[in-house]
Amino acid sequence: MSTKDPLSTLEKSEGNIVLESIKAIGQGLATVLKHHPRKAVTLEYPEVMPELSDRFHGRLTLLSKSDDTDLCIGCQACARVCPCDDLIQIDMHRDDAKKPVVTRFTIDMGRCIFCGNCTEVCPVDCIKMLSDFELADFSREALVLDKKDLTLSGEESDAWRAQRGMNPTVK
Amino acid sequence: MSSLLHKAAQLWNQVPELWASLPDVVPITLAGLFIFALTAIMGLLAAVIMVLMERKVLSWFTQRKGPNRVGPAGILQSIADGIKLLTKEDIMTPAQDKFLFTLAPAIFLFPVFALYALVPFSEALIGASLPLGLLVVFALSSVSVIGLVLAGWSSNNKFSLLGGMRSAAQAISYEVPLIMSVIGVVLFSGSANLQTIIQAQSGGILHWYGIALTPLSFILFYIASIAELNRVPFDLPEAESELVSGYNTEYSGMKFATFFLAEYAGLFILSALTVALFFGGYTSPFGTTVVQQLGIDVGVAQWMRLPQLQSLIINGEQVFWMLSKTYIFIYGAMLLRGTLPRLKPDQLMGFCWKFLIPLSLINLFMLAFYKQFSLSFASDGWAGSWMFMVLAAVVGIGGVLGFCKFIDTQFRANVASRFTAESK
Repeated sequence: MSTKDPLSTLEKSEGNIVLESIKAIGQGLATVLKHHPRKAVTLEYPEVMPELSDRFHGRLTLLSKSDDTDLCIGCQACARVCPCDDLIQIDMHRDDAKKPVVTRFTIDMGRCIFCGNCTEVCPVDCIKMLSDFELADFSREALVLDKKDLTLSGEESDAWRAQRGMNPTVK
Repeated sequence: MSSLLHKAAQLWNQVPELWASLPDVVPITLAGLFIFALTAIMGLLAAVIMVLMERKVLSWFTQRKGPNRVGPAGILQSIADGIKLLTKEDIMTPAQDKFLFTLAPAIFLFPVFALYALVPFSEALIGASLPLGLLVVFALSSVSVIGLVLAGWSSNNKFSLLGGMRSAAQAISYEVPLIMSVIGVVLFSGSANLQTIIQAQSGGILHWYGIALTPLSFILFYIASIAELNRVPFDLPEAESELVSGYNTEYSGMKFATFFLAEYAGLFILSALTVALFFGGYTSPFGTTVVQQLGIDVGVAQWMRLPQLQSLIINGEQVFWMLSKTYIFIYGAMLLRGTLPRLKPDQLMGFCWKFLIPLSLINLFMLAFYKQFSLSFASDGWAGSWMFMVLAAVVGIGGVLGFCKFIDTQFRANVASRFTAESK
């Protein structure tokens, strides 16, 4: 292992410690002064919103079919894979035509850890995440979102799918 | 309408007589009040401006925006800070010495504010033009050290005590190069009166001591003054990231604000002193003031029919020069804060005693020799004095470089001894 002997480096180094220090300080000052005319990198939130990627783990949402009907089939895969206990509550029954009807779908955003497991296991690509991170509210109860708060309209769902390169229309 | 103008013109013509007819007490009192207001307001205003200026300037160095929410571009931030500190709870534990705890910020603050009366802001704007003004300045600035030690002791906190002791040691040590670097200036101007020192530098930028005579004295003074003020890179007693806050850890609310204000007030005063001693104070770099050269002062005074207005305009411009030069040096102190890392305590004290003090002694001897022998050489005529100046410059620079070489060998020996000791 070749470790340079600090003593030999010191003995071989040219130059005066005083003048070298002054030079180093001068270089530091020059660097700092060069920052003066530069534009600030500060993002002035909330007047300016940050640019977020399409994969950003924001608020959860339920997409709809293009004709505004429910896309969720009530399979409860998301509720089962969620690492938090009882975060997603789903009530489902089948109607006369054996089609699934979801009567209750609540997510407690106050306890959600935004891991995205639910978005990955959904078999119909229904539960997804938006770019919305401004979720603060005045009480814990207000953070529990129900089906009406979560669902996007048909148009909005098409726009979400189109932006991410998926097939926009879902029948 | 014309009769109204006529009356106004008559009244206007009577103004000088009216002014002269007042009893002597009135202009004297007004002048005194004006000077008092000026020095008091200057002190408070400087501290208020600098609270915001420091944050803004530091943010420009780091590509950020400083405070910009309170008022346009954050102008009212100082007021917001003041209100916050005023309304904070004044925390005091029973174990603390109540009297000393409350006294310490006062002792720290008042000498610094008293200094505002001694620094000349223009020819006429000086609170007290003392024959030994410079000595009084340094004496007063030494009194605030007592406040530091009291603050550290009465906080009933071992870390505060440590910070207070370190701070006192630092302040006392750095007073030595601070004063020694100034003795040369006193030597050449012939007086310790600040007005005389400034007048001796009148005549333009080439007469200023910091440029024409002793840049080394100026550098020593500036470095020592930054150490006196406990600013980075010498701010170990405050060490915001280490000792929590050193001697002012236990202080909250208005008492903390007092330490804060006193530090900024001290920065303004020492920058003003740097300007006064080494950069011509309120004199303009163009020789006489710009308004005198352009004849504005005489013109406006004649137009307004108030001869006193002439000196007012000249003094006004001198105040402008003084303040702008002072703020350049305050900016320099903030530049150093934004650039340099903090010194360790042993490095801090070693820098003072082993580097600054020998260097300032060498500087003082060189200046003394120059003063003594330049008199005899100057009598030889123009060529003789130039030759002597060149010789003095060569000897001076050679002496300083020799001293640097000496420091270098000491440094290498020190490092070598540490490494050979470790290898055993």
